[in-house]
Amino acid sequence: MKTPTRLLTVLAALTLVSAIGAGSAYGHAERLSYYPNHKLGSVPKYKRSGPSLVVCKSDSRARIRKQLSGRAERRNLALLKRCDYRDIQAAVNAAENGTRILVLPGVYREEPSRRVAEPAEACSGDYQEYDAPGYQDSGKVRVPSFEYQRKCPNAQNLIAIIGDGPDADRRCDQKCNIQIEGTGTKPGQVLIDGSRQKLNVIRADRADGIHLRNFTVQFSDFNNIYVLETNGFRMENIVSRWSREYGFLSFTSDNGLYRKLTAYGSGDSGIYPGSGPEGHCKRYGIEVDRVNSYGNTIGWSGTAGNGIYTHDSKFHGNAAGITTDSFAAGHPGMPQDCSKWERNEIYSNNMNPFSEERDQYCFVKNRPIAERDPKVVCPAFNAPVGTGLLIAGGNRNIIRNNRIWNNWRAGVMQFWVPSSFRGTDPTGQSQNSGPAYDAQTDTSNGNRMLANVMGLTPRGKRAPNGVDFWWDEEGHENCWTRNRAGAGNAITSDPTTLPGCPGSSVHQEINPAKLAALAACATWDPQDDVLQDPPGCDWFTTPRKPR
Amino acid sequence: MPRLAGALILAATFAVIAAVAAVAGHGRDGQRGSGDLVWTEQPHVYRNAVLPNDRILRGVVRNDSVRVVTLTARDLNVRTGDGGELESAAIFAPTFIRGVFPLNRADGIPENEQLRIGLRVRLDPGKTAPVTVSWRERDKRASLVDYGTGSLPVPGPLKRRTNG
Repeated sequence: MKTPTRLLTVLAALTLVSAIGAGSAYGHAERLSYYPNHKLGSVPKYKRSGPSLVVCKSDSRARIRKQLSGRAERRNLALLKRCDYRDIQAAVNAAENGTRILVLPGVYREEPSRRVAEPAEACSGDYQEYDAPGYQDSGKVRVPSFEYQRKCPNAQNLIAIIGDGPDADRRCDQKCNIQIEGTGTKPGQVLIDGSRQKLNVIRADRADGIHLRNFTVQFSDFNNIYVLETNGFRMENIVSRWSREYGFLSFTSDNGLYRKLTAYGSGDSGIYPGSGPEGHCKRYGIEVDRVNSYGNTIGWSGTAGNGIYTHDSKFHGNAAGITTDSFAAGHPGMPQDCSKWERNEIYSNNMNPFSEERDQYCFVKNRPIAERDPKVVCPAFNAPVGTGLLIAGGNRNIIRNNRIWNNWRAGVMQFWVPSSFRGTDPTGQSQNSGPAYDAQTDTSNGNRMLANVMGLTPRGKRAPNGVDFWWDEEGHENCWTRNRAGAGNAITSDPTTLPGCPGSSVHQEINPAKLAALAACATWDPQDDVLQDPPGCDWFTTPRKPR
Repeated sequence: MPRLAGALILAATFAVIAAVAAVAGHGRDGQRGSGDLVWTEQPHVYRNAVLPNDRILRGVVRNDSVRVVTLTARDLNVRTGDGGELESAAIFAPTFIRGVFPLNRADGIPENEQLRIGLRVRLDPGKTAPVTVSWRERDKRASLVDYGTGSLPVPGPLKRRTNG
């Protein structure tokens, strides 16, 4: 972009900010959230002994007999004799710090929690009001406070593990180091079903040391599992399916582990480590290990998905495999930086939940939301169909030694997000000042794509991406080195020449034609006949299979 | 100061400002349509290679009036020379932006979020905002962007192609 045009864009963006005045309150915003002190926590270890409570259903014995054998059957039958609880929440309520909650085979619908109304009249005074994070002076947000969750834990949540007490330290006092574990041999033998009755099926809130393990969770109205402001968490061997928005979501949490998780059918993303730890490339605070995420709008996403190490995982059959960004207001830790993806398989992300047929199904004018089949993915956000990994306004990320193939639009896509777009951060935990911020150039810098295998299946069969690497050409110190395609094939990219590492320290300006194409996609609206497929935007058209 | 005299002075001041603004607009036919808004420079129109009938216009508008202009992107329409309406979309943003609120719930988006993500814009006199407008052309070409109280011209020649 020539400098005058660039200046106009920047000035216009700044003017847009200054032009904004008062607005109304937010709808689904979260309370102001703060990172814990990572030095005071750690990833919980699996506990095989210690105090425990047992939960079962009336048909657990029959399920144990039918589904288990040998040692597992004997163990579960022995546990059955100790069963004192019919609902997981009841056991959580009775648990002290360090308790293991052992959940026997069965379907857990948590009927007592469902009977709690939302909003909860008993907690009608427990809301937090703060300046909207969109822009300064643009109205107030009114959301349930931590006290709301502590006093009325099941208003929004089917199962709530609320760790902090009424003090002001934001640290766990009660329900700390709780382990909730299905006792079957497979995750499917313990099913926790939200029936879309509550925003969250499981909420761990300042519940330091929470460990969730070996069950299946389905049908939240927002998050199947939600971990918030928690220092030390572990989710392992869990299947999440058909969440209206997110499968596994953590936010302003640290010392976390997502391990051996399966996530499918999410309207937004299968896993979402958003507002990730602020290690600024000195450490990774959350590890994502051997996750299998497919059939979601997005497999892995994270606004301000900082400090995450994702490895040995599979992201496939989504509209987009992985996205991380610096778009949305209200996310501490902006701009996004310092995550690493290594040894993952990112392939065949061409599922199109934006098809005409799906558009019509999800169109509220055609079908009230309550009548939707919860197993049909109605996208909550837009994503470029056919994309393996997208970095939108991220910095200093590493994409190394991954195998990326058969994504019909692009293997890896990277574009800039102007600083002003992310609004303000009322918590003061974002880098929203300085010369680069003022110049709108503080995103899309320093990303490195190294030694990835592109367009080749693990068996060595050629399966090209639409283009291996797509870049809007904005930023500095972005680089691509030692990436390889199959024998006889070359890496494909747009632009055709990419800088090798360490990249150029000179800030390069965006290609305006690419900018225009991106902007047209921002107008997507699934509840508008024309804007379901906005003119000028090809993100929602399944790309032609590349040859 | 008597109220009437004050009002007259104010009106005269506005008239002078308006006249200056009008003169400033002369000689840039490609940038001024009718109404309060003008292009700060000739906008560019792009064609998406994958969608050959679609066009994307990217420009910056300035409020050349003496009053605050508030617009909703959805109220912008692209019209042909004979006034016909084309399928179109608009956003007050120079590039892609994603909102905070899920869009599968049919809930309204709060106004402050609409302002942040360019679904609405509020322009003080003399201020500018980026705008991206896209449309589908069938038999007839786009001629102007109609924003209700005025319109902006769509430049004739196609500038470039996107890499879509």
